[in-house]
Amino acid sequence: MSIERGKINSQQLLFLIAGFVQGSILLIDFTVGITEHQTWMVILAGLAISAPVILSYVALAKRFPGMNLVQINDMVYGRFLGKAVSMYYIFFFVMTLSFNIRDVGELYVTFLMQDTPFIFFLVVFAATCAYAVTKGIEVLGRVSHLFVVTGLFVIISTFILLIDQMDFSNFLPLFELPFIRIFQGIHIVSIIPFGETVAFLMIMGRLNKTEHAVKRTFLDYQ
Amino acid sequence: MIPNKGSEASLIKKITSSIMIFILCFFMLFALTGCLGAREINDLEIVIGMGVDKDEDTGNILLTAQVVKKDTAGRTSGDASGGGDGKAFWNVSSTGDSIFDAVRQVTHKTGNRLFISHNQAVIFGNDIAQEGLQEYIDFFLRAHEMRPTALILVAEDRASDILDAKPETEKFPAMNIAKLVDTYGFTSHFYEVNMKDFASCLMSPTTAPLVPLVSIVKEKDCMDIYVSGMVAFKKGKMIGKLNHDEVRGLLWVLGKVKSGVLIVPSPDEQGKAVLEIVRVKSKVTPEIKDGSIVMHIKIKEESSLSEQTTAENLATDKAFEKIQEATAEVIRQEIMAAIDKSRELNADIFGFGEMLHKKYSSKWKTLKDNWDEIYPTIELDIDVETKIIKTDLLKKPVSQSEEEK
Amino acid sequence: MFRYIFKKIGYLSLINKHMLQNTKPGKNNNKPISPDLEKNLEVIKGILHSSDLAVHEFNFGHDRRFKGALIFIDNLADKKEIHKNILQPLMYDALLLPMDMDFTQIDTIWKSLISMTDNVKVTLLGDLLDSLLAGAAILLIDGSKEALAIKAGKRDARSIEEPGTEAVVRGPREGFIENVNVNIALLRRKIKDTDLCVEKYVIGEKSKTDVYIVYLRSVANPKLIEEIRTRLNRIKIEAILESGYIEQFIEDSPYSVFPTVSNSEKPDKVAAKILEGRAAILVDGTPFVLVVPMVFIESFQSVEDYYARPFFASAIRIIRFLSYIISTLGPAIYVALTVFHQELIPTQLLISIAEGRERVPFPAILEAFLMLFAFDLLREAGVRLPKPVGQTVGIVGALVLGEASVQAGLISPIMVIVVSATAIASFAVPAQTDSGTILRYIYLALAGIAGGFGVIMGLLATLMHLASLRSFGTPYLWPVSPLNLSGIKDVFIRMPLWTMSKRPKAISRNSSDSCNQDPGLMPAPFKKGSNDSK
Repeated sequence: MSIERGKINSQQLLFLIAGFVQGSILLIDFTVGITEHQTWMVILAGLAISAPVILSYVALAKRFPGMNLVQINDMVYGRFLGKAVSMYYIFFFVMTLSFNIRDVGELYVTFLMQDTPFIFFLVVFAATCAYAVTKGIEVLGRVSHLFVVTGLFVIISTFILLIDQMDFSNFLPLFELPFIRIFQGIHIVSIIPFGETVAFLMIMGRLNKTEHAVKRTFLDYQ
Repeated sequence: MIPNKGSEASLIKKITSSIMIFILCFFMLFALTGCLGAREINDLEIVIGMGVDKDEDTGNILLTAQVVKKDTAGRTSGDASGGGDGKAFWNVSSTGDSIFDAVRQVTHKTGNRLFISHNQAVIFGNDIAQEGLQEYIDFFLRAHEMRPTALILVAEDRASDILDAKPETEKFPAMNIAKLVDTYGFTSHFYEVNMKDFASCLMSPTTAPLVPLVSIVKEKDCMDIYVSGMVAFKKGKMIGKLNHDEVRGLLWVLGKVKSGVLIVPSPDEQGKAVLEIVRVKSKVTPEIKDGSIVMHIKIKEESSLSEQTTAENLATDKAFEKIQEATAEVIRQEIMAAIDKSRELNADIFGFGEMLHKKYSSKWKTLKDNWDEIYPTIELDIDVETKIIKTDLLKKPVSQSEEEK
Repeated sequence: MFRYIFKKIGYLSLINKHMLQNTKPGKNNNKPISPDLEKNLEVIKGILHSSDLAVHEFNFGHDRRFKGALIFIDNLADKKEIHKNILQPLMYDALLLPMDMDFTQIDTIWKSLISMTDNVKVTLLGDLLDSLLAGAAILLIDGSKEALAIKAGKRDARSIEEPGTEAVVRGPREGFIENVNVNIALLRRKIKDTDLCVEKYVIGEKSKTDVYIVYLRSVANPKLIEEIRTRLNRIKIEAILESGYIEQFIEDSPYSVFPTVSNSEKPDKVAAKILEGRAAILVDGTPFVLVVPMVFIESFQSVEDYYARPFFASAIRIIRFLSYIISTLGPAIYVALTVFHQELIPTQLLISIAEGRERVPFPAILEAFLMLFAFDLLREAGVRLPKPVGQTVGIVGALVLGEASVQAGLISPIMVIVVSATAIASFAVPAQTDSGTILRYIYLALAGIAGGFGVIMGLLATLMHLASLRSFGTPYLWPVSPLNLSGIKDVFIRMPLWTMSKRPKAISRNSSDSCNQDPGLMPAPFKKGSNDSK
């Protein structure tokens, strides 16, 4: 509905992306199973590897100002192939979305409320998200400030409070695991929080400033 | 524009129907309440301590759970005497093939499910510890209600006896034990081990986990709970006990000594100088030299003079120097005692293996497999540096000093 | 979905309005006054036929050759004034004027005889009646097509007192009263500037209430003023009895629990807001003045914050934020913790809560609802009853609820503590007490249904809702989101006044000359040598 009308500025986009990555980092849990104590390296490497990919998104947004991903696809691939590619992207978004919602629901069911039916969390969570979406991209942009700042506050305060329990020698040893596992981890990390930001190409066209704000936004975050 | 009546009526219909949908949604929420895992506090049996023993007759597990008696627990000790035997807790026990089985069996006696989130300590009986904790610890780590910070202890004899001993000042034995463990810093004769620490030691291929030992001291008519010394495990099985000096020797190396008392002879051999440990820093650097492993242990200790039993004024540079030397010697002896013990048990209680792993990860693969043979051959280079930093309130001992006469 | 409903409802009200307008009686509104005095009097008497209408017919001028009539409503007009300043000059002073003066010309009388200000010449019967009902005395002259409405109205006004709703420790003790003219004067006394604009509207077909917009022309955003004008012009109702009527017709989101129009009884507060670029809407007959636009943070700011030194003011403001959180979330968090997440309560506390609840027969959620209901009942009863009786209710409530219900084992003592803390906290933020009360119940229900998860989802939805609100074009959560760094100086803490040299960007006219003080006014002690005279 109102998503069509909303305009956001580059700062809000920055916070939206920050919030997105912050949220996805929570789901990094599954790479820990693969890369164990070297996950920290994997995340940094993933960030570095995904940087050119993200820059290519920026380049796309610059090349096609005011357009979203579907429109870009239509333009690049022509009408029919473009639609097919767009469908594929939308399929990807739906998959990611359901995966993320499921993960949140699983968190609650495993740790907090065991006796509650799983579907309850999914429905309530999806309903809340839907409510947010009906409010439009502008509201999401405004709320993202609050979320990111709160999230950062929680992370930093936890970090400070736990600083005496940290043992930095646990970062060692550096290259113990077989390389294939590290590679696998990097692959996952560079896609799951960082590569997924392709979703933001859908709203890049909503920026109210010139296109180079887009570039700044991505670089700011990295 | 004046609309006709028909469209107006259909509008009202639409509005009412959408309002009805909202109301329906709202009431559907209430229908969900029954299965959302709500549990009133009244229906909880709050477990604050658990003991695991072996049932002597059947060989099954005998689980003792210390449950809070809600009607008397919160009252002040003055009017607690009014209700029943005055105990604020109830030790309920059951047997089962596994721990979880036993936990569920308890419901036959309590009428409610056990709520173990507030479990302070898990005490394993001696027989269980000797058999091996590996198979029993799984439940405590897997159960989502259980905290990984719950303490783990081993009883000198049976865990249920420890939970039965009613402390004089505290209301709950389990709380009392948690308090006793929490104050280990004053002596550093053992250290706090919780489920998470124990499990992470258990997962290491080399490090031998330690667990504090709890026992009962009978005095006249009352029984006191006493925590001192630790039990060493290897491959999940109890292999021996460390007395309190040996434990402190270990803590010196790990840098975990918080405080404690050191007694050294005074320089004039007339009495003793008693020092309180203020600050300890330790650093262990592993080194592989010509195929042999050397651990460089460097300890920096600062202490204060807390008591002296001689008339000599110890607050002089000369006396300090001598005391410092003597202190270093005491510390070295404690460390050696710990090392001798660990060699005797052939258990890597220091975690030397993990240190080597972090520094020499490539060589570690070959060392790991025959660690048991390598461990006793590790050489040690102990360097202790001590310093007396203060003498508390007195500058001179309370005696007639000879110079003044 | 909601928007759809709103649209439809708005549409329905439009239809109603049309129907109202069609049936409106338009009989004597546009009739001119006839030169025949007798006829005029007859018509007026015919329309009003009320016993408090006073008609005084008289002859005046040399030889008493002119006929006139003075009409007024008995208790609205001040008789003494009428005698002294209208009748006396007409009857006696007219004789001092030249013989040939033509007193059938209203202008002549107005300029030569009437020694009162605030007079309006009326030519239409409708206007005449309006002025008459507003308390004016109407002078009708035989042979004149015009009448003179003389403001001889007297008004019983109470004296200016300290407002009951916004008591301060430090600060002016004056408050607005029911007389809107006095209120405007109070504002004028605070802002003696030529830019201060007062625009008058008369709203209400029967009540004909005076409504004034007051703003600073050079500071307020012209779009805002235009928006207020259009919204006020939209209002077509019978009567405006209080500014709350206006508020409900001009607010942005009528379906939100959060108010988007603020109100105040204190001239200094309203003056401060006008100086920031807001506009005040004063309504005759009520001491409550509306101020738009409103942002959420305003609820947590008190005038005293700016009179006290910044440290204490900041501390108090943080307490206000905390108290709002406690008042909305207190019972919900208690229920979520004790029913769903007992593992989060410290062990000793859990044991004492369990002991307190041992005999309580209700589930915690019901217990909380009962207690909150009892509290709201007590509050309502205490407010409505006369003061001495109200105290009795308070005492009975405290004894029965606080003591007896705990003794009887109906309510756990911790619940009493939680609810009392909530109750006290809810009074710390007066502007959001209404929204807080409603949210408290909603969160409590969510906590009872889904524990912490429910509360968090509720909070999320509330946050989304707050972020989507706008008050006359200003985002409701400004300056936190969208973020404004110079605005944030006055949100969680109150920076010293000399740092706040800019007007709020989102509210005032433009950013270029938005300084309200010289920057760099930070006080500093005299430097030696710089001032030798002392």
